[in-house]
Amino acid sequence: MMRHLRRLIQVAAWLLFVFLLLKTTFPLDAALPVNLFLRMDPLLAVSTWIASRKLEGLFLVSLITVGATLILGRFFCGWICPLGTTIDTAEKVLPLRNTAPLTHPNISNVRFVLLGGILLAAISGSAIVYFFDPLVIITRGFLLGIFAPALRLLDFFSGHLPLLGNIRLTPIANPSFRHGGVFMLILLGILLLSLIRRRFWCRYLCPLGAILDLFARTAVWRKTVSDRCNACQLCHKGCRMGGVSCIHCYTCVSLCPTRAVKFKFSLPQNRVLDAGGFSRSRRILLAGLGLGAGLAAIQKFGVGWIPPSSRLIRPPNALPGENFSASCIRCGECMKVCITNGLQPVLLEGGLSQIWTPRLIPRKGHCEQRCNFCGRVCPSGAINPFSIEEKPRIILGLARVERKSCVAWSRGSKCYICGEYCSYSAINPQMQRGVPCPVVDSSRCTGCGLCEFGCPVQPDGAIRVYRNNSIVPWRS
Amino acid sequence: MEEERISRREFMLNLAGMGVLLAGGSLLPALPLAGSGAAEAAPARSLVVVSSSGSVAEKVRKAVDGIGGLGRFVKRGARVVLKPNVGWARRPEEAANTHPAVMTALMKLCWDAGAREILVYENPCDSPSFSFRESGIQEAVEKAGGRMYAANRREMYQEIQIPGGRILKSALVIKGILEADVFINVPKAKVHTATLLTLSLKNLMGVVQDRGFFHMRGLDQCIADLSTRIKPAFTLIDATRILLTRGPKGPGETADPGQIIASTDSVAADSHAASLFGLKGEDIGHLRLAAEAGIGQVNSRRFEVRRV
Repeated sequence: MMRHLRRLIQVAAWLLFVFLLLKTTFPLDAALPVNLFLRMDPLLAVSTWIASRKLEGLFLVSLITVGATLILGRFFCGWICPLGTTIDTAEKVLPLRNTAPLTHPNISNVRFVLLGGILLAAISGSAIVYFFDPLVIITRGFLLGIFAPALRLLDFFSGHLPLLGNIRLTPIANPSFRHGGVFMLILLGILLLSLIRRRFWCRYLCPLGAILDLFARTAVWRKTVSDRCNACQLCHKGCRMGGVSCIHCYTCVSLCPTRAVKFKFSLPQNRVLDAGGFSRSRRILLAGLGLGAGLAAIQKFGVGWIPPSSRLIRPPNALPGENFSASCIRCGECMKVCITNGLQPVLLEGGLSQIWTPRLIPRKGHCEQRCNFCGRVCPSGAINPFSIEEKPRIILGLARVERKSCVAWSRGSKCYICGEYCSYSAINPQMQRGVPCPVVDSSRCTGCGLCEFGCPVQPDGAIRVYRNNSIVPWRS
Repeated sequence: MEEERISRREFMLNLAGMGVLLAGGSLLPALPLAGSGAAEAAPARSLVVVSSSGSVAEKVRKAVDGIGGLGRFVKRGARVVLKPNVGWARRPEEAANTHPAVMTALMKLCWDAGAREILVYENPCDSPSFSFRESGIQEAVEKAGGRMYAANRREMYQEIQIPGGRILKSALVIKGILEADVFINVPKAKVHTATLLTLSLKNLMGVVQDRGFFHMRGLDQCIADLSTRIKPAFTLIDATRILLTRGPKGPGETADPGQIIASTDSVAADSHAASLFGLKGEDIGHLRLAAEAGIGQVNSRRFEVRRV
């Protein structure tokens, strides 16, 4: 009974998750917040709160997950987590053989090491949670890795099959994201880990699972084994978590031939069994400390340190400088929702600490004047919400005309597209032999990039937006 | 509802019949009797109908009736394609786009004339989603039973040859417009930094995918070249409110001439509309070039302005 209920809720939660991702687009009118799942994640909450030194209110939703886990245990992974459901589904297809536990017992502590590393890095002011958080991995994998090619494919067919007519699934003509394949491969890699052991990721690696394990130690809804147990070991063989930790899948309950295994309200008795072998604490702590310090150091001073490119333009109303990279969880929501597809993931152009953060690439798409979607979907407060009325005061950068390549300035062509396009009346014509030539008014330019987007000079455009280092985001 | 439709349709047919009679009596020598594509050879004296009284719907109806009624162009079962100017994510009162009320009124006339379907195409410069929403056009078109398309995908375009073009010899243009039974241009009257004004001919530039080519290679000539190949049945210029500064996008100063201008001669219609801005048609480079190519009459002495 509970098994079927679990499957039902799992599928429903997964469908809701995907539905909300699909609704992360114009006109952004879903009844629920589209970033709900990310905000339910206590690992993201704690890590972001610590790293940004700010109690971002959006993450208060995660307290519900914490509260439920304190009472019910680590049910989230078996019932709600969309990555868990995806892994369960993949395991129906993958050829699974080995059910024996891995020989080295310490592997089940890796997730605690990761958790420690993430939290220590957060204390040092560096966010590294986005490398390991399961909800970020699946959100980013779906939004940036899978949806863009899938939508393009569906879109292609909807344009060509008479039955589908002209139904369009995305308002963006041909959405694409830089190195989206990387995000797809990370997701695929996690699914393929199940070839080694079922729910390999959840058992051994997931730091969210680790933090939930810690909260679950006091849970009162727990698995109990009565005297009727005849030690047949069927439950142990069937456990998808290899007995490392319980995610309330109820497989053992249904497998038990003597009905000895039951879930009921009871006080914790056997800590090691229930909480998943949280031992060797000193070694874990040291390993975690080392990892966290190492990653934080690499982020701050190490090989990835490159001065931010003058073309690294942030989304509107993004936090300035280091505060942004500390708050941004690299989930990809802002990039998916961006109506022009101009927001793209950074690779290394701002140093390792900026990896996968959003940047506006105006040649791909500009920042639409009457759009505030990125601020509305950001789950971590890295991009603050703003109103359309505030938009002219929100500065992203400053446009500059390269007169040598501008066809109006250099060849006298009647081209004034940048000035026609400008939403903020920030480009004025200067007449040269009867031809209007563009001049940027820096007091009005917001750096939205529409001029650069529209410029017909190939390949880079003769008007380009540069990062304005002196900018202070407008805050209400 | 149905009865009302039929009676109006009959009325329209009667009106068209009257037009034919009048034309036969050479009272209206400018009125070509053929259907769409009437501007093949520019008639000696074109007719520009200007309507400026009543509601927007009445203005549109009177202007269209003035050029012979919609029944002259739209036959029963026709696929009608409209090309408004919805280039920008601007609201109707900002006068950067064709006003949605003009679309609503024109579409009603099309249905009354027996149109089978009405398709509306535009490839905005701002985000299509925001342009269609802010302009109110999408809502108006869908409410009136038409379908609105953002022409922002390569597969929606088809290459055409432009034998009469001097610079623009071929172009990718919106397929839907080529496949239309009746194609109606519904531009907005605005100032424009590069071409002084944007009216009917400049609005047609919106059916071409690569507009950068125009700017790089000679804007006025390319616009004129395109008009030798893309010929709407007629043009209906929205000059109810016009943008006087900071065109074509604004925000800028506006004025309210309250005019709807209709003509089968786009050049003549544009030439008349130019007068609303204190300009002559000859001041606009692409109008001059189009007139030279025989597309229409730019000289105000060679077209008749009839106010209805």
